[in-house]
Amino acid sequence: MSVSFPYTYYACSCADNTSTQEKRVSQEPQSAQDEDERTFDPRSRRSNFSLYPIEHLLYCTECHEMRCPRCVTEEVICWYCPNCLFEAPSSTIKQEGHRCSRNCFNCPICTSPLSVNSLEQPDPPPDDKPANKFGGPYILHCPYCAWSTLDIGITFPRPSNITGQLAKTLNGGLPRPPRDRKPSSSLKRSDPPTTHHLDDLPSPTSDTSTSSSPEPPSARTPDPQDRYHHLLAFYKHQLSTSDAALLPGTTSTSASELGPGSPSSIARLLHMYGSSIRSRAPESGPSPMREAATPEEGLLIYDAAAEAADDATIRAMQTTAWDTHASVSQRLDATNRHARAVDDLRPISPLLRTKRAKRCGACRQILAKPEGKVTSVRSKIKLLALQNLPKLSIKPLASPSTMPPPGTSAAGRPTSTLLTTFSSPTLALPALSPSSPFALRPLTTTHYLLTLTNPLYDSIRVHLAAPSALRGRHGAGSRVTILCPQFEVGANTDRRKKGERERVEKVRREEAFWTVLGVGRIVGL
Amino acid sequence: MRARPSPSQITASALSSPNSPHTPIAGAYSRSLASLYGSPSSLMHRDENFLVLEFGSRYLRVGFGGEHAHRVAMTFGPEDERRVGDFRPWLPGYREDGPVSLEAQGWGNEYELWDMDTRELDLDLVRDKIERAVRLAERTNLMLDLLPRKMTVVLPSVFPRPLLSVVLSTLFSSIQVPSISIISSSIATAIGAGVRSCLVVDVGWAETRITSVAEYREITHSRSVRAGKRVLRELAKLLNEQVSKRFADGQSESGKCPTLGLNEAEEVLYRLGWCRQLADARSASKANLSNDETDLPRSDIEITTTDPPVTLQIPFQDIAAAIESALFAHGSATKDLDDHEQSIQLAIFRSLLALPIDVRKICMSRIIVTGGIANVPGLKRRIKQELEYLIQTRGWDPVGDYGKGRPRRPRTTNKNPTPSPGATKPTPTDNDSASEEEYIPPAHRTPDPDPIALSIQNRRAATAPIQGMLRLVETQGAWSGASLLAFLRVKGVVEVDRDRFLKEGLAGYAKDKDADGGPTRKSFGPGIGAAGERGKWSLGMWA
Amino acid sequence: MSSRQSSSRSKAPKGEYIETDSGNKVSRKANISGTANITLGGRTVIMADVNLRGDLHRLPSSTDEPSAKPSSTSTHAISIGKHTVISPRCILHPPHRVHRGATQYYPLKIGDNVFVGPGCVVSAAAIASHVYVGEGSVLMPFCMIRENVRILPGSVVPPNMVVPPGSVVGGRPARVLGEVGEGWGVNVAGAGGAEMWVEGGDLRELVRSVK
Repeated sequence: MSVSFPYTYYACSCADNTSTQEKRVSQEPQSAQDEDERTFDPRSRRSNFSLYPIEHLLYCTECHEMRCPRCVTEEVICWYCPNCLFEAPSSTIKQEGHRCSRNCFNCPICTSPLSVNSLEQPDPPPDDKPANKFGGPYILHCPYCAWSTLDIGITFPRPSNITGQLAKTLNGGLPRPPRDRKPSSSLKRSDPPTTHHLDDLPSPTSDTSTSSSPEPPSARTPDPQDRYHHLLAFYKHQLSTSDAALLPGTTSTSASELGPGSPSSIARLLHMYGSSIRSRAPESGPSPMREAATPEEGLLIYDAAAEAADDATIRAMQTTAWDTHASVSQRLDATNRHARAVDDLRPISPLLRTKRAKRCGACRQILAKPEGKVTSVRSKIKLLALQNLPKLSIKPLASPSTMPPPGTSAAGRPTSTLLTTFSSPTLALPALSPSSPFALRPLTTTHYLLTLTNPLYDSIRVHLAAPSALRGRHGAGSRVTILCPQFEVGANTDRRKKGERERVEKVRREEAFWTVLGVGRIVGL
Repeated sequence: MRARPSPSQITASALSSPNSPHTPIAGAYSRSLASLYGSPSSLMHRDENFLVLEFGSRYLRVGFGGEHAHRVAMTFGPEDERRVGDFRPWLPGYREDGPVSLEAQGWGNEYELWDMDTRELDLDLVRDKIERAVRLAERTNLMLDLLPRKMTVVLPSVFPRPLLSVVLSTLFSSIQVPSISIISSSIATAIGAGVRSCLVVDVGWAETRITSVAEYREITHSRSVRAGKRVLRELAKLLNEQVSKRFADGQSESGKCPTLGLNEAEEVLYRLGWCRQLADARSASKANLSNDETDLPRSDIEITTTDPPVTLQIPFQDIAAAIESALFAHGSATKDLDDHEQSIQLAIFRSLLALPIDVRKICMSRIIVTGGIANVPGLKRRIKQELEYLIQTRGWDPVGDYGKGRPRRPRTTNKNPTPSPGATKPTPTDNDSASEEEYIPPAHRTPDPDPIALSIQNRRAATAPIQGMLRLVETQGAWSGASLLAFLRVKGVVEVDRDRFLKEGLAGYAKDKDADGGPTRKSFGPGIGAAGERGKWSLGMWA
Repeated sequence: MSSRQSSSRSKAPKGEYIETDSGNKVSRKANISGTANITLGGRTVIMADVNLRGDLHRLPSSTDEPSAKPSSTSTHAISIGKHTVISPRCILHPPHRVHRGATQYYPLKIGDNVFVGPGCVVSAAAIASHVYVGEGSVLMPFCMIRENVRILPGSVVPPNMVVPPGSVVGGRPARVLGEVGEGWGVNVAGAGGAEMWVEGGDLRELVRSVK
């Protein structure tokens, strides 16, 4: 793992297969030659996308290649809530926005899980145990940052089905007005009521005087979800009543009209779904498709009310403190996309997680298949790269603290890497920042030990190579010497669970050109 | 609703058709389709997944068609580029690398998915980023149980072809969707607003794009670099000035003056960004010249990314001034600016001016300000006021400055050159009183109002488009517009078929550009001769 | 408050650790209170300066009288499974909550092959098996860590949080950041040397090496 130095990363070659370089060769003819000889550069930005710790790699025994997370295809086995570990039935998950519909909620301020607490007895602190005996209003309370739904003026009469109760309540405690829908529209399929907790209204107010005179929500901009469904109903209506022939541009089709929204294409589509009225003569046909004209049809004008709302927002900005405004990350997490103030935020129901089977992207062999039960951690199939590729690990020789447990190691910040190529896998060895005990120091030689573990039942031959000088910010210019560039690792002797291991000593020599004199010749070896 | 054949059916027929001899490159794929989907009839009862993706310079919005908002917006910052298993930002004592100097050429570039200037762009890096973002979004937010049948991608209408190729091939390979339809972001924005003609002002990240749309057709397109990146850069400048001033005053004990970057500026923009009204800005700029700004109200800005955290006190006005100077360029004269860095209001004005007058009168009352910066409170009003001012002072005159010469006509000061909608509304019943006063022979009488004609007339009047006045319309956003389209199963013109794209790439599409110009180019009826018609493709405006 | 634990275990005069019959290794420098309420599964290591608060156990609900001896099954305060390593300076403090004005303690369970890094404060309700807790982390009361979880150093796991199986958590407060790979805890065909144990894997060799 990357956290504790030193670490190894393996480069999956799948990135090269999908390279677009060949398509651009015409533009850059000079780069065509070094196309083939391009070696993997662990410092390039691209390398971050193809380097993996070996634990994350699978191995396809058909293709005899390692498979990284992006060259496998995945299939969902089950969905479950990470908080209550309850498996969600696949029929309802999409309607619920792939979120837990039970009583799980996360704090919109700090992302901790919220707990349901009773407010009945005012005397004990609110982190009292929510036993069934307690009645009265309930709140969601964050035990980490002490935020609670009281801050947004919401209490719940019952401790169960918080999701449903929350969906019916606005910030400030007012009941959410019933959604006005066109009676004829067939929106039920597209608008399951359970999605409500995903999409919260912009709260009526952002001033800090809590709910003294909250504006009625109707005076504000409408709920984006409502507006969306108004638009949807409007378009559906238009699509079913408009006659395609009346639309301008239908008759003349030229290449210039091929924009996806061009009237001809819309018209044809309309025609497709409105074909029942096709038989009518064009003269007596209904009016052509028009645009939305009223708020009921989804039109929203930036008018005086919106300007007043902007003014209120600006006033609130000016008068309130920095942390009453939602931060960037809080807004990104929020289910209410229009949240501006902290008061606009709502409890977040956690996203579900999935268990997935993985297949090889090339031959579709199953590489990993966990058991179906949520709580089970076993796998039916697991073809690991660890069991099929030599494992490389590297550590400094004779360094003060390589004794396990290495949890005490400083959280170093590797910034530059040394590259060793080992047939297809690639090992990236970091140099540490100067504060680290393993840091490269000018004019001193540091020894590293590379250990290879061969899990295979055949011996392997290993060729090591390294760039002659390091690049990067730390330890740049340091020279690398490999003491044993070629060697053989014996086969894994079966049953005794004791892989043959070879140790290769590698000495890294350093030449620090940034020292004052710049003459950093080191006696090597 | 009629049943549409499943893509697997189409694929199968296309494969078997002699007209389109496919090499079985996607053999494994179609096999898997059949096994996954089962028979087409069972598919109809399944919950279908229409994926909608909107690509921006900094965000990728992903969600399902038919929902009102996207599920997740993937970001492309440096933190999103980390290696798998690299959790260093979460460790104690982690410090980010210092931000790039404000004067650097590519300030903020590391937060972008792509740069439209593809000369220096590493397309493979873009591919990697898209691939990871799509995979992560699928994993954490979409959790698809079935492969999606259809995908709609929202792209800017002016889009480099190398990038288009990268986007399509990455999507085809990472999510195995049979076909992708592409829709332009301005059209999707118009659909999301419920209008058919409009002027879309997309104040995005790298540039502000101004597109005029008439009847769902893009007419003109212009750009200005005055957009989010510039705003954030101005804000970062303001913050850094304040920090260095503070350190110079010796108010802070620690020695080194930190440099604040995009993250801090964005935090300020999100929390305290606003725009003044035009009149206020003018009076403030005059007042600024005369007196000191010590007594202006100040806002606390807490910067937690520095060590130790600092609290800056910045005049509230200055934040607005920084944003406005980035967007409206009042500090510099028009002639000093290049064409690509004109102020927003001038770019909008010129776009309107370039339109034919009948389109202009429709579009000017349907101006849609969208994009990330559009959420800054006060910005829309300010744009409206700036435009009103321009129209008032210049009229619809393409010449901005006559110098020593004189304009041919006196400039109009009429704000609404065409009658307002109230005037166009007819009042059809006036004849009752007249008939009582004197006798008129039936032949000369005004006919009794025909209820049917009246209702038609009323309907026409009600639906008569508002035009000629300056009006801003709010949109649900391009993503929601595309989601509407996807859910209504409106089939876009640009539909890219997976098999064909993987075989021929974009070149195969460009070739057919001329071929399908004819009136019988293609029918959108899905079942009719699918195999034969699938031979012809177009990239539409992206060709 | 905490008594130096040395009574019930066999005394070995040499070495830092006392080894019990079932192979548990307990440092002489560990502070252990309420020994009767602590269960060690066998071959488990308790390192120096670890505080085990076995005295904070659940009281019988009928009476408030503290019962010193295990009268019922529910008096376990801390139970630790096999091959688990508790690093120096950790504090294992059973979770508690205030119920009707009285502080009620609940048992703290730790599974097999769990590695708790140095300087951690653990008040979790349960830690399942094959969990790696990084150095200096705080596991606040009643959090539950499921199997194959890696907790990054310096994390603060908030109260009541359930960490799903196979995830990586970190931050203050901690959130799920990612997943451990399929190869989590798999140690390939190696014995001895540098690779005698991996994070989340079988800690038997590590336990054996502690002397």
